[in-house]
Amino acid sequence: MGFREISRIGVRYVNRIDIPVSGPIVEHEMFLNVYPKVPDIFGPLGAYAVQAVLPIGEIGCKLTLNSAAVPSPILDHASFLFDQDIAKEIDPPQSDEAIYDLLNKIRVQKNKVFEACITDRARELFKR
Amino acid sequence: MTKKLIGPLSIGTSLVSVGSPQSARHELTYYGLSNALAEAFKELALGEIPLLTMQSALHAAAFSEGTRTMERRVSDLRIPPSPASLISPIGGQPLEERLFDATANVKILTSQIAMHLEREWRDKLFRQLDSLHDPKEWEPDDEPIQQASFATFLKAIIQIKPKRRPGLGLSHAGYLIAAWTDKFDRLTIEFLPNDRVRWVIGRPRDDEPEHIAGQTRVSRLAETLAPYNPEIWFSS
Amino acid sequence: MISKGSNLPDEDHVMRYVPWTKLRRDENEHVIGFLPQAFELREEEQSLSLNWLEYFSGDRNQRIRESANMFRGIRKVGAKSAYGIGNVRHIKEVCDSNGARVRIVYEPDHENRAHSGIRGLPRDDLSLLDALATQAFVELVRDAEV
Repeated sequence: MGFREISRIGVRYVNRIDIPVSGPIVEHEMFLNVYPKVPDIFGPLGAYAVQAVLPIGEIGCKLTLNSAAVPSPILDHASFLFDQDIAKEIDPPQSDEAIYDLLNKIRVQKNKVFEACITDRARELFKR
Repeated sequence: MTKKLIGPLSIGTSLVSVGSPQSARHELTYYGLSNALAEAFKELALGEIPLLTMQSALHAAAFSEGTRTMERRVSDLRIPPSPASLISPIGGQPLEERLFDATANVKILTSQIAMHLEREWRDKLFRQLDSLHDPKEWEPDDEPIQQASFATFLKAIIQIKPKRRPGLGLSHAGYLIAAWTDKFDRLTIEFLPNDRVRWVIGRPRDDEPEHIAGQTRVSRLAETLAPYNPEIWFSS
Repeated sequence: MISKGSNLPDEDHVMRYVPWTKLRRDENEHVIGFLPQAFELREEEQSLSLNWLEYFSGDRNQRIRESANMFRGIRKVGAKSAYGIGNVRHIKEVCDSNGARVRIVYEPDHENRAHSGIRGLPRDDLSLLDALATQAFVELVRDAEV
């Protein structure tokens, strides 16, 4: 019958960050480092979604980063999705050992990316 | 009956989907089909035509007798449900499965806001939900818990953060009910879909019982209850 | 014996089956009463279903037992369920003081000769339902105790 080669190994981490709000304006830039930059004359954003695709040269992977404002499942909060997809599509490992090794490396990168994309104000939220 | 506007056919179009995009059997190549299709549609005017007729005509035109025979044999291999089966062929699901699915769905919903609930609270909540959906106690004409109702409940509980947990119940329609009782003072809240709640307070006043009821948005629940000293129910 | 469609005597009593999901419980799942929704009409119902206790003979406990047996014979009765018992006159008075003029009517059917119903109950009146739960059906009997 033969066997099929693994053509892509990827992992996806989707986080939602809930920011407490007390008024109509949410200062998402105080909590996140990934958001669209628009001219001030436009005023506050009603909603947004951004995507960035970046190489992670260290491990030969591609990072697809999505971030968007989403309806919050809880009251008095604004919610933002932070979605990372890290994948290796060129010469992905085929053996178990190499695959697990790659997954561990991807996890390390994922943590680095996440920490880089949030501010200390956001970190305080997680400590509560 | 579904209708589609059919424009002029052109030779040379590679692959075209007709009908449901998921239906691979309807993917046709138009190469060499012009004659068969013209024959099939010679009685029909171009323009709006029933899709059903279109599909049948295309099916007959496109597939050989050998292919149609093979398709019939594959269909025959599917085992039909036994006439004695307790499961209705149209959407019937055993009760235990229905109840399990309903509670599983709301537990998954809870997982999406789990960071806002203490673990012990969540565990107890799940046990209460399981108890409400015990098949041995289940009322046949009732609906299991509705996700939309539970979403409203979660919003309320996370905002109010009661130290005392409520007793839970379920309405006929599957809307969650939370009840707090302090001696003769009672608060009952029914969580409706679309972030609505209806509530009733019962308490004795000058030896006469008093009942106050209302309906509001879940975002206004705390404010609405404030005049009635809700801390008698919510604090430990 | 009264005829079908007649009002039950004011001095008599009625019994309503209340399943587990409609019992009022504390945070430790101890049963402490009825939820208002235990007396809510379903969409398709025109009257609130009850058993007429005095249809059965014997003393009060025997009547309660017979009524429970009737329920068990015609429908599924959960082990954790309960029955609410109230006096006909008192139920009508509670409804009246909450703005609802009701009749409690003898409605026997081929399955249940004790079947009766409260007619004229408004829908969606949570205050009234709470009153029924707390002031009208004042006695709670667990199925396991009968």
